[in-house]
Amino acid sequence: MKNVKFKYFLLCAGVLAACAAGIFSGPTASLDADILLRLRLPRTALAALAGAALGACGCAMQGVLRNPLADPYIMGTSAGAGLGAVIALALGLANPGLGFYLLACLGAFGATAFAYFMARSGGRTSPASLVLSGVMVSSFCGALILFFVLARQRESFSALIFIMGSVNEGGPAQLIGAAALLLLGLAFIAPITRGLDALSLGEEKAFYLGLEPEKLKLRAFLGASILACGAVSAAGTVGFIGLAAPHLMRAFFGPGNRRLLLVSSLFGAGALMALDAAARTVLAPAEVPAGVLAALGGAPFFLYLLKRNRHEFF
Amino acid sequence: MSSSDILLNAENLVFAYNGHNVVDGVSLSLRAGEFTAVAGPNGSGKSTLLRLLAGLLKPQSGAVSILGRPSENLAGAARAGTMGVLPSEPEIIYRFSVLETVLMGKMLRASWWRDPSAEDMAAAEQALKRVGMLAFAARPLTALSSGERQRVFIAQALCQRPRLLLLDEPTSHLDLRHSLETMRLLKELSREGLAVAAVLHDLNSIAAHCDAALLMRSGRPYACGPADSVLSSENIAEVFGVKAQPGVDGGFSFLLPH
Repeated sequence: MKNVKFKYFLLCAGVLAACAAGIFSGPTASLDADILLRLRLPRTALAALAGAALGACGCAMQGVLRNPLADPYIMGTSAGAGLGAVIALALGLANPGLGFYLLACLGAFGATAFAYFMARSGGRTSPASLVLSGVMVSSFCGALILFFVLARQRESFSALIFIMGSVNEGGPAQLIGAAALLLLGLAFIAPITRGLDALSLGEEKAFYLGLEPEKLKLRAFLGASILACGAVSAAGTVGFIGLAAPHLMRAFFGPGNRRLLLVSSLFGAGALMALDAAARTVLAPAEVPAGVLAALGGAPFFLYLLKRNRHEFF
Repeated sequence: MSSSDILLNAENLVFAYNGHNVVDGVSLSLRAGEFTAVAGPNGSGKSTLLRLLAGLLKPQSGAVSILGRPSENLAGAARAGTMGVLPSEPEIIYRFSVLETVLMGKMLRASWWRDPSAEDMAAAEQALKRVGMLAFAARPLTALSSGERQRVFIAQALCQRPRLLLLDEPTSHLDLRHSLETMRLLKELSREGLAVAAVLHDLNSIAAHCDAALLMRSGRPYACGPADSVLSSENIAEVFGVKAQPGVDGGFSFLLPH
């Protein structure tokens, strides 16, 4: 138990360090209180909220898909949310806003459900076909986003952000919206964390333990879509945090989803704050989209997992 | 045995898949204190029958009643609290420990924010003790042999406090010793008042441990009743197409296929 407390302490220390890096690093070395308070602080807070949503979303998806390589980026959830977001912008719905969020959620849910059902055959879903089908849905949504952007040049830049992934410099409304979506998504997922544990033994076994696997999956997909919508509306489609957060945290805190949901959220928050800080500094004064940095680190990580864990348990 | 001991009663079950009757007119009663075997050649519908009894599949005609109530009225927590079911091969993806796995049988209906209480832990430990796996409590499930995993899943089912225990081929992946130990454990559990039913292949093991047997052929019940009379050499010749020589040695009766 003491050991677990120490791990919590390390995790929280890391998150705080990332938070400090987010607030104090930037293209200018000046520590102007005005910049810190009016620009950096809200941006870092938004990165934390979006990152937490990504971590929680990854945890939910790896649980419900029973696949440790699943994440909102690979499964097409983020791209679906991005597509919904771009359509919302094209319809004149502002981000943040209820209509905007609704369309982004709908896009996320539609893309995920579609990828899932395409990969499923005979009541089974193989990890490889799931990843393939997710990547296809993801690239299709990405292409549609580009198509929309080119067709309507007016909001081209803000729309491109949804593909590349970069933390917005949003005001209080954006912060409130992201926080609300994060909490709503967690409210969907937290009560079914024990169900997700049982689901890892197979849908048939989960049924015998008293669950209704279809209802559980629907609820998990809805929660994951809301979380992806929260992340994407605040920071675009940043990949691999949703994959890495539950994966790394499982190695330290064990596979139980009750704890994993919490620590994955914390890790995701820290990871995106750190990435955003790096995004502002590595090529300063130019800014690299955080999503580009995430892919630079995340894609090799994914390949490493694929190679290492082929015959192992997670 | 009086009829009040009947915990599960299946009447004339029919289940068709792709226009083909996989289970065709099976009736079966499972009684408290009895260990029932379901035997038959591969593809004779044994596993499908078990899933019908467990409520995972709905029969196209016929009905299953559990504790005198139609089984479709028994859902979720109530179903899990009445029967524990072990599918043939558990799927294991994440590294849950033995104790965490057994607790799933107990905690699934608890509020998500509640940690397992001392009572929950005691129940899980008792179930592990019952199957002889308490020493393995902290180990990850992934590090166990199939025989040990089997016992953990039996402990998990016991944690649900069921009246019935259904198992699909519990001994098929086990060596001789572990297979024998599993059969002994199931027989003991039935003696403690559970109704136990299992899909089994080893006819001698059925004859040695089970009270009743259902012999199936192409989805239809071929013979049903006391295990020793169902597993006669005539029935075996007819259902499996194999001649078996009955013999007795040191008080044990056995069948030698040849």
